[in-house]
Amino acid sequence: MDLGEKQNPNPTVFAPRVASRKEKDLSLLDEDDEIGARDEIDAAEIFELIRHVNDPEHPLTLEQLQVATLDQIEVDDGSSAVDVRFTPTIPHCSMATLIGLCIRVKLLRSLPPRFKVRVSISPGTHASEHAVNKQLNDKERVAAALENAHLIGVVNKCIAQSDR
Amino acid sequence: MAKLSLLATLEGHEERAWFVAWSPDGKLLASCSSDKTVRIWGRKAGGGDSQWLCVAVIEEGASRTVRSCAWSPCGKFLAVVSFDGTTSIWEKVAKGVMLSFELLASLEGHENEVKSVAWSTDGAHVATCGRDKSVWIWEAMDDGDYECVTVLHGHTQDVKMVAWHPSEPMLFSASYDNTIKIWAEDGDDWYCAETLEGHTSSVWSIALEGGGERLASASDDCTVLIWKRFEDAQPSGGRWRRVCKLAGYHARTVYSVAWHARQPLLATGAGDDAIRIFRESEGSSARSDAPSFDLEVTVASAHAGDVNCVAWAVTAAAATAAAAAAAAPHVLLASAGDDCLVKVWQYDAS
Repeated sequence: MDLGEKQNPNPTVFAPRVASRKEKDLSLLDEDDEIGARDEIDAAEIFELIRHVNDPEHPLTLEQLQVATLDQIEVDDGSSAVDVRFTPTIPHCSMATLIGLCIRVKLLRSLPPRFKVRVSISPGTHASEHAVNKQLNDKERVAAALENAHLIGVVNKCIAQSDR
Repeated sequence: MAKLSLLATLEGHEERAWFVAWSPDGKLLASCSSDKTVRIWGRKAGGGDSQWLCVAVIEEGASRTVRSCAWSPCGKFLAVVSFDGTTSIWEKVAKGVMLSFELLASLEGHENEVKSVAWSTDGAHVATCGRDKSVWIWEAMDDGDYECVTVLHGHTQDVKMVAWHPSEPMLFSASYDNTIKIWAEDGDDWYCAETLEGHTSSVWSIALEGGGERLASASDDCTVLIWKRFEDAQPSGGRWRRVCKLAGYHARTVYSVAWHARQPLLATGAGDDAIRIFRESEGSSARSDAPSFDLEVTVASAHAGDVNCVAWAVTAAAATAAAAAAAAPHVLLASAGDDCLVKVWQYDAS
């Protein structure tokens, strides 16, 4: 993929709206919690995982570009379902699939395997929304893409600084 | 109450198990994985249906995910397809209780990931399909090599699976373009005879009924459709029409459907981790224009992850249904999951 020419040369940069959560609020943990009890995951935790993922073409995070926001994340821990929507900076962004793939890979590596993750574009924010969503949620194509050395290199670079 | 009981959990794959295929005599099970290997499993001597061991591993050959495999009808050969673009044909060689597989031929031509492979009933042809949107038909030569007979274009997207009609020169393919295509032979030429439209997302799996008069298809739209062949063609030229829709049962993508060769049973494997068994209702049959299927068994959390494949064990053909039942008292199902496991199940009717 040619990353030489920027699709959106001058994106709007936003300040973080949610404070970083360094650790889980310890007061929430009850001493009677069973060892090995299921770790409940919520939307804030998912946002924490992806907010610092880098944009493929800018030295900025998905949070700074408001590509990812807390209100676009839905989690149902009981049914192990995570639904992440993201908003490309421009409606013709050719990086949309790559951004979605970065979010998917980051969550794949961070969440317990029981989670069923759906990553899709916020409705109405991209010209090829349907095609990109279908590709991002076809696990066979995602698996094949992740066996592509060049592509996984680009993805790894985008998520390298995301654990803060 | 009908039930599906777990007989064996086969551990060995290091990554997602994609596919399982029973040998024609039902004695061996082959499984494919993202760990680039095929594992062959057999029953332990005297162990009945519940004791299995890995009798061979094919670990050289594929440089990427092994997506699918198929036994030749004679049971001597195994065709294996990989995301690396290759199809390889392996010959089974006995080595005491262990088996080994020798590479006979490499079939090259697909531009990228090969997704599925199927052997025609007479063993003379092998079909493959892949992400390059094409379906290839290969013919077995006398010298053990394979020659490409035709490359079929028509699908507009990634082709997920191919399956042959059990008795006629007819091939079915399922695609990411939401359609199923039926390819037929005219002289030496293959052409697309029909395109089946009805699913609203990728068609992941197709299965012919034993007699070949009906087809089941499973999709990302969370439904299974049943198609039937009619004698009279529709004005548009089609003979195959949708006669039944199984909707509302699967919470996520249906990745696999399997039709039992001699019993009115459909099994499905889905992205909601469950295996389901549907039985065709009393009185409904291949002759019915509006067949009905009842959900008989649901095994929730059959795997700790998506169920990628289900396959009914094949048993040696018997002259009568009674003889078949006597020869195979247990109806076995194998499954493959994202949890890297392969499982063997026993189905018991009520």
